Amino acid sequence: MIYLAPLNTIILAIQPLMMQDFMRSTGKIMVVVASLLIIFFGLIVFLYFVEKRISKLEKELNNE
Amino acid sequence: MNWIGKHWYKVLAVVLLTYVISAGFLVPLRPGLMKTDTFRAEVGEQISMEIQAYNTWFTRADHIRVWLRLSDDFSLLANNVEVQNDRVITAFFDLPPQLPTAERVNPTSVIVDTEVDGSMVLPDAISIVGEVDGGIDREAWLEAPVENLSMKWKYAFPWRNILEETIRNTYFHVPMWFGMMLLFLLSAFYSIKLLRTDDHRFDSRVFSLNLIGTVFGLLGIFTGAIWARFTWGSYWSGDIKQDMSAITLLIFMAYFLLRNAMDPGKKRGRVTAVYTLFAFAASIPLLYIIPRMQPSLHPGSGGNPGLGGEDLDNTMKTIFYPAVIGWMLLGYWLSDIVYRLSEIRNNLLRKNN
Repeated sequence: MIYLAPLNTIILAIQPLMMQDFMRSTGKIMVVVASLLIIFFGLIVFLYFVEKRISKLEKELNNE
Repeated sequence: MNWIGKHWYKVLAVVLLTYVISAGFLVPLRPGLMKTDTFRAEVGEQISMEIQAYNTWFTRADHIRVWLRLSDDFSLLANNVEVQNDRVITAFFDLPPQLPTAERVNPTSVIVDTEVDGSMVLPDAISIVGEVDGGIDREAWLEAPVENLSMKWKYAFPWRNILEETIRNTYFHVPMWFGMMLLFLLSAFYSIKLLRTDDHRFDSRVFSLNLIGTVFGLLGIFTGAIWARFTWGSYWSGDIKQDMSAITLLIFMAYFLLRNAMDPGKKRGRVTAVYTLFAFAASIPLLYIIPRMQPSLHPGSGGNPGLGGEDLDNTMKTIFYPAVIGWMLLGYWLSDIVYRLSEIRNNLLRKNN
């Protein structure tokens, strides 16, 4: 616990800073990262949609 | 040969987007000034101004010059510059007792020039306030004009205040809209083909293109919203382009409601094709005409944004154009997958009946 105490203090001290400034840090680069992640998740949603259609087709084939 | 004929555009999409994502993140941003700690100064004062910069290497520079630039003609050179670290300098000015203009409050830009990083500007960084009826003295402001700036050519993206690194979003947010526009254009084209021939394959084309076009539009809206949050201040500012693109997407989303509400068949194909044509016709004023007639937070508003101009320099063009083509090809690829799935299903149903 003696070792943890300073770590706790540090985390408590920087947490509000992290929350507010994370997206604005290093020239707001995180905004670009977030944009690319949004597009990535968009493609994942597309994959989910395609998979659902394929499952439907498989079911129709198996019902023959 | 057949393989190449079928798949060349997919390979091209992957190559272009690999280049776009790598270069889009790796090419550096030009140095720029972020902020100062002094916003107001009075004539005759001695001020020290701490200037925060981005991507600069002040400790490597031998000659750092800092100006307060009142206007094209009048400027004042710092008499001393202290380097705190690579990103921070402190400039000291002795403001003359009189201003060169009759204006009392003068918004003044800060210009920093080093031989390592080139020249950087922070517009309207500080207001210099004169005394009432203080008189005019032009000479003191003419002694050190802003000149002999170091020109540093680098393969780097331009620095824009507020935008900062998010200028890279040009290669991800903007091509979403180009992709959406192409997909909707193609879907209008296939709608006409469907109405002329009654071929059910064109119905699948229209459906798949509308679907991926809408997905691209939604991705454009969401990437735009997060970009707006950290540059314009809120996710949705009611900007004309935001509103009009949202309306366009709602119109296209209604296509899917209409399609799901009808029984599959020729009638549904024709009705939804006509609706797609109406939706496409509505998207032209919504996306291309109205936004150009209104003031907007988007760049290139109040006129024809075209391509290029000040918002897209030559370095950015080498990545932006491949990005537009790459995302367009990827969009077509995705829609082709949906199209083929729909067609498999149609053929299955036809065999069963």
